[in-house]
Amino acid sequence: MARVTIVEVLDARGAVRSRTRLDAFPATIGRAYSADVILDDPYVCPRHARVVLTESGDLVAEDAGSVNGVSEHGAPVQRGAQPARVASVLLRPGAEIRVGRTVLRFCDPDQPVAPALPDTASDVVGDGAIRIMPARHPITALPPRAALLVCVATLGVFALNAFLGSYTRVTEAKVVSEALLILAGLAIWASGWAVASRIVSHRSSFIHHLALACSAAVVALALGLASQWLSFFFPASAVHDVLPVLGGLALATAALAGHLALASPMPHRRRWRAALAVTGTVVALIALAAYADRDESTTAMSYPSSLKPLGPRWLQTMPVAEFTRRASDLRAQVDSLAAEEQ
Amino acid sequence: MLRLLALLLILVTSPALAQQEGSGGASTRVFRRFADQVLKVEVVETSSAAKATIGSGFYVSDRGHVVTNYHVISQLVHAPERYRAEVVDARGETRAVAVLAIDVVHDLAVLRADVRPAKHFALEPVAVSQGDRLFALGHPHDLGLSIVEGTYNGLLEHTLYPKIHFTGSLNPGMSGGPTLAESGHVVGVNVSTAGNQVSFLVPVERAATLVATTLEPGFAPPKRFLAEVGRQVRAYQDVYLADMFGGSTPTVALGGYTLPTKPAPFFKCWADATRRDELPYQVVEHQCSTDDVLYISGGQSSGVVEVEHRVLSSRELGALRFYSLLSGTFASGDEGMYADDEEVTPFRCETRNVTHHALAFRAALCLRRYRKLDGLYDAVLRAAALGGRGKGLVTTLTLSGVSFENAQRVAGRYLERITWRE
Repeated sequence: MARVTIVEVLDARGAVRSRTRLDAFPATIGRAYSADVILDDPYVCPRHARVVLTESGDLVAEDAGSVNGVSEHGAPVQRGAQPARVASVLLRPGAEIRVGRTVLRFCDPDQPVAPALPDTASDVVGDGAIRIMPARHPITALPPRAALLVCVATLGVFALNAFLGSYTRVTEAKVVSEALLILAGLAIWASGWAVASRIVSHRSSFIHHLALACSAAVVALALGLASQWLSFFFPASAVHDVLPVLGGLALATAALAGHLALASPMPHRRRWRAALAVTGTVVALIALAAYADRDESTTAMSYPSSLKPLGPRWLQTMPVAEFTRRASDLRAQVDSLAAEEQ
Repeated sequence: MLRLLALLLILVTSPALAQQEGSGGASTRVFRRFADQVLKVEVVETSSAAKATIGSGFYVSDRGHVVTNYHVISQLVHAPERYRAEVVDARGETRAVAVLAIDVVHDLAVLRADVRPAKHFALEPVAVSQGDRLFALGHPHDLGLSIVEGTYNGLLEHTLYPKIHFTGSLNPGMSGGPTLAESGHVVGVNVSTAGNQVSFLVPVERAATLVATTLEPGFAPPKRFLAEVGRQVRAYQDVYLADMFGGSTPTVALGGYTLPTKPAPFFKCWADATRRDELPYQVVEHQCSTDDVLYISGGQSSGVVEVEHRVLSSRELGALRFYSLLSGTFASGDEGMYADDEEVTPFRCETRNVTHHALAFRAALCLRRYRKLDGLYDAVLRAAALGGRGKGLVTTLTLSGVSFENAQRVAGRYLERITWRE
């Protein structure tokens, strides 16, 4: 019976990047297109190593006179030293060798694999074809430098907000430290997601998680400011109360869906549903807690207090008499409050 | 601060011990002559038969009429099903009493015991001069009948209704007792203290008027005293709010704004400024308020009228930062009214942009209703002037225990009195 082995090319985190079946020996490993196992590694020679079948029926990897040699992966290496080159390595099932900066694992073709996951996703793209892999989140397409730029911009936005919101004498260090504190909180949040990503998909994507959290924080800040301006322009309207709640729900859902896209191969619709379910539940719990703990003390006066540097020509105003006349509605409200509890 | 002052004024909370300076023979003579006409008034919780409050009182008729303070028996007024009132005389005899009449505004009550006392005080006008010796009788801290010597220092200047300034230590338990001239005439009824021997008496004329109504033929006490409390507070505020912030209200110029101040002679006004090197802005504050706080119950006081102006200015802060400061000032402030959750509803507010002449305000009017007293509300109007560059105004008008119509009218007049003079 012919001897067969499977060569797995592993990435730096141990995840399998490709698998090649070898059933004719000797087989070649190298960067050349003519190699049986092609490695896209600049430290690998065009013909770097070969796999040979010995007379005793064992498979052995041999150095084919390469520049950087072949070594056993996992063998102890002194810090800063190169791994010890070997002329040949006996390839038992599960053996790992290092060629250039690539790690190869040799597996028996009879090695059992995990059962397939049931695919319940109904993601249908435009032409009706079923999407094979989950769509990648746009944030994953962001180059790491751009993601870093998002974080730096967030720091700037929060520092500016801290400055504009203060009316005492503040130093640059104080406003930046306030912004840094927020960024540190976001980094802790992103670290949690990075750990989850590492466990599930073998990639931490920390900088992308952080960029996503920063973007969400900036949008949340913008929502808060928009609510303030709305309350200034329309003090009697409930829009400024509703906007942060609905906007916050949408924002939290989008951010959570983004984190899930980075951390797991969950299909598009499923991760949005999961994100909506989680944020909806959290918002409902917060609303419930807020209702249970609502401030109905008899000293609390709640009214929109945000003032902006705009004159009356920007605002809808009314004469004093009209204002006091409308207070009749207030009387009706407090009268009904008194009647409710009698 | 107002709340603290109100408490000090109303409940005689001074820890100072009663003193008798230069007691000589006068105190002894007065005590011997009149001690048996002074009573201890007790409000008893019926289910436990235990004292809930104590005060003092004195006989004013041969038919068992007793004068005391309203605040001594206010628990009975508010919950007649839970309390009863008794008087204990100098010989230790206890008698049940019924409430005949109350005067919430002057803090007086007339009770009646089923007894014909051998002696009683005659409530007649008496001439006293500043510096005259007076003798207050009562039961401080339930320690037994005591006499406190002090001096008459005239009527208070800044009050809507007259109150006597008595320099002598009144202590809890003495409320409702008589303060006598050396001749034995009642000068006033002990009512409150501000501590350090600064005490206050209700002039005898008010007690005489209330007693006289109960002695009229055909007099019948109110069926529901709580409704009577509400009626008296409504009548009281109708009087003092009638012309408030009308055309004759004086104004004060602060930072370019012309603002109403001292709306009536019984108001006291204060001003201060915050100018600190570490702050990039300045605040000038101007405040006027009344001392005529009405005691309604242990959980509520009323009758507060307070005006507060805060004028802010800054050359250093940019427009957005200055309006952050103005927003913070507009959102904050102590409404200065005291009421338990059981006595009033939560506030509800109406916020609008209001213009008057060339001035625009963000105005918030907040209202809460008295739960037990019909037709009475607490109202707070807070307004911030809009559009000023580096200069802003936040002004607050607080009215407690007022009818809705008065709150509406006075708030409107108040806003209309504010002008910009630059």
